[in-house]
Amino acid sequence: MLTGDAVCRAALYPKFITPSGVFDEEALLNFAGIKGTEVYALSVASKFICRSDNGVHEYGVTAAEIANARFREKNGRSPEPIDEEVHYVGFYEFLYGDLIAIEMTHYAVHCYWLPENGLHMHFQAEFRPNGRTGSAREKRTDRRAAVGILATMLRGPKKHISMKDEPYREALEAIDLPALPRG
Amino acid sequence: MSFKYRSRRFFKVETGSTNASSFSPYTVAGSNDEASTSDIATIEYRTSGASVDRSNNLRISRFAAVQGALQTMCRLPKDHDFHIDPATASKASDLLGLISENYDVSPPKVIPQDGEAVVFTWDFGELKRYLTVDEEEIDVMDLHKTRRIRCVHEIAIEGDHPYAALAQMIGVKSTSTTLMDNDADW
Repeated sequence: MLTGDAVCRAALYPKFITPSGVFDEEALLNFAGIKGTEVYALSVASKFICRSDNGVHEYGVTAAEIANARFREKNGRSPEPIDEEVHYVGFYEFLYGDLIAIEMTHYAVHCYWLPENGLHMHFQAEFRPNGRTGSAREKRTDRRAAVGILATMLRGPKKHISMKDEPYREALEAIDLPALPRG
Repeated sequence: MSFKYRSRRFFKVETGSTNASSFSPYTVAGSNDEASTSDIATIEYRTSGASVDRSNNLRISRFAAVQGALQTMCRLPKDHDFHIDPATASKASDLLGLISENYDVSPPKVIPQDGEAVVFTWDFGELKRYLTVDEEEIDVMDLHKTRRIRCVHEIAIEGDHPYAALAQMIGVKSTSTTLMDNDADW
């Protein structure tokens, strides 16, 4: 990936809505801890490999389907639309060069190609420990600041409602996806 | 003159009643790993009970929505991205109540941090303020978005005068002329 390449983050409802019911770009950019490691990771897609906005939408719809399949596997039933089901509603993007230029104290920022579940455009952005000593509290603050900076780099959204979600179009279009960067 | 924080009224928050979104996306349905009801029942959700006028109603209800979010978050399954443990939710709820009653500041957004801490955020344009609360500590971080400079203050909840230290860090206009001491209720 080159510094000018766009990295896309799918907006999978409701993962970017906080429990108080509002959009939060830092919830959208939640770097989750990988079990058994001190690495924190975020799934993204390469727009170059997706070829177009529609390609990114196909990735997002598939990512939502994978999340819903996990729900079915775990609970033995299908998720209720809107209330439980994950719906892809669009994506935001930022530049690869902006991401890897983020300076952290206790981590190094990486973003690498990691095809999974048949999604060859899937990349993984990671905060990896750089070996510098620090308390858990300092590391937590370091990650918080990095996500805060990355949030300022988001551009979008490019909205999309999939064919499968047509019956819920009105509800899904009512979801607040603010224009970023904020004016 | 010393001030001791007292909540003046408690009421159950209806999740979603004042939300920008018309949905309530964080149901606990399908969970096999919820926090126990007894844990949740120990949390008191505090909101301002000051004399209510129309201009203050929106602010109160928005703070109430954040309190409701904390309640929702500790009820979520432990493997959910937004789960927080009930003890941390209780600390965060107390702190939010204190802020809403004593400072002229708008309601924050709330997100979890690794399941063990709650982060309140305020956006002031170029500056973003983060208030991170866990069981034992409070961190205040101011992040300058374009210059990417951060200023971090660490405060121990059990230390000396945590509220006075916090008030200095928050640096917002107080709506009370009193001071806060270190034996306020938590």
